[in-house]
Amino acid sequence: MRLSVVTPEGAKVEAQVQSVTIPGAVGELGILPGHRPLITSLSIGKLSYVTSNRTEYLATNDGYMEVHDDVVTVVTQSAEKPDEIDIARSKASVERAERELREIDRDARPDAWDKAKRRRLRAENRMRVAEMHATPAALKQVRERGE
Amino acid sequence: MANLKAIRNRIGTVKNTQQITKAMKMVAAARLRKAQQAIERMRPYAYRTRDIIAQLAARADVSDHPLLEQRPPKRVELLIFTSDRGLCGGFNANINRTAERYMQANDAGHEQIAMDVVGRKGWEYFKRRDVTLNTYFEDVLQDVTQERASEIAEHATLRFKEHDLDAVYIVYNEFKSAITQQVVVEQLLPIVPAEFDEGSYRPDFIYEPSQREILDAVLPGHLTVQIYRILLESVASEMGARMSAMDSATKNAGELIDRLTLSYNRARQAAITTELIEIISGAEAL
Repeated sequence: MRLSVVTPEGAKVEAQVQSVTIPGAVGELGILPGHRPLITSLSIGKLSYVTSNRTEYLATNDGYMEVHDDVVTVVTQSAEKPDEIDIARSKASVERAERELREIDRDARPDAWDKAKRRRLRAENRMRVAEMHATPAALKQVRERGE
Repeated sequence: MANLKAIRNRIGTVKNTQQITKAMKMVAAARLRKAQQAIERMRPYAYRTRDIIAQLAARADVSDHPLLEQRPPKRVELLIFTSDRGLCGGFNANINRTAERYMQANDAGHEQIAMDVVGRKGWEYFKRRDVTLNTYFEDVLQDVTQERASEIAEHATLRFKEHDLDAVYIVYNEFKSAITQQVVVEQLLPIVPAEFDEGSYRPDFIYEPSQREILDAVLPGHLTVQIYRILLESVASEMGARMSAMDSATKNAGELIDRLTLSYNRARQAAITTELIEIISGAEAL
């Protein structure tokens, strides 16, 4: 089964995989070879796939996924590998979003409030994925850079 | 001798021009590399999104979505993408000519054709002509951002939703390679549904949650993505066109310099010969 993850910054993953698990809009969804054709929307969350018996992870953003003929195409606004995520930056952006959420009057500017909330969700998601799955070496590097 | 001086001055001027065109070529080449990377990264994402929307749009149960509504095209708008600066070969001229020809060809079919222009070159061209110009977006290609793309997309979608417009067509340069760009006319709104040939394979997709909800999730960003892609296409094309235009300008200047140098040397020799003849005939006369 083939997986390709496409973002505005180019193709993130092009690989032969054994299975894919995606954060669907209605809950987590596992795809195995021979799946029926499917189009579904994707939410902020963690995508994982198994390739040559190793599980890889990606922090995803809004998007959608298409499955047919054993080709899985994930189209999302961003997809980051745990090692690429800068935890310190994500943390800062969670804090920034929280500050904004306190400042924005939800009734007066619902759009801005929603935006800030989504930003917080995205940053939290990135942090979570990085903390759970980044390699110790990458985490150490980030920590050293932060000091 | 006056002639010699004139030629020398002329060579100096052409050399200066050549230096400028050479510098512009280098700058364009450097920016082209970046622009080309940007567009090549963006394309898979943009095309994928467009395909899936076209697929969804082809299903009957979502055809009542406001952005998919097919109306008789009475009032249409042409959105053209030109650059703010010149000296880039046929980049702007091709767009302007295509847009103009399109309007002449389709004048009878619509009640009203108006134009929206991105870029100063298109604006300057059409403001002196007999066309309805609606909106002018300035300084877009200098610095392409998501915000500008979404501003342009919003501008069209809002009026389409409110029935001020029945269709929007776009005219832009598609980036093929550093030396070729192709002018493309596409329908932006309403969204064109995918066509299925009779009997061809048409995968029977499962939709989760529902087609309508997926469409609602993907559609709003879709037009921004497409406009963003077109802006990137335009930047890359502009840089490519400028690079080749400046390259041939530099070459032409080189040829001109060669020719001028030749005539300069000829004139110089002629002057020397005349002088010699004068001296010799003077000596003979003694």
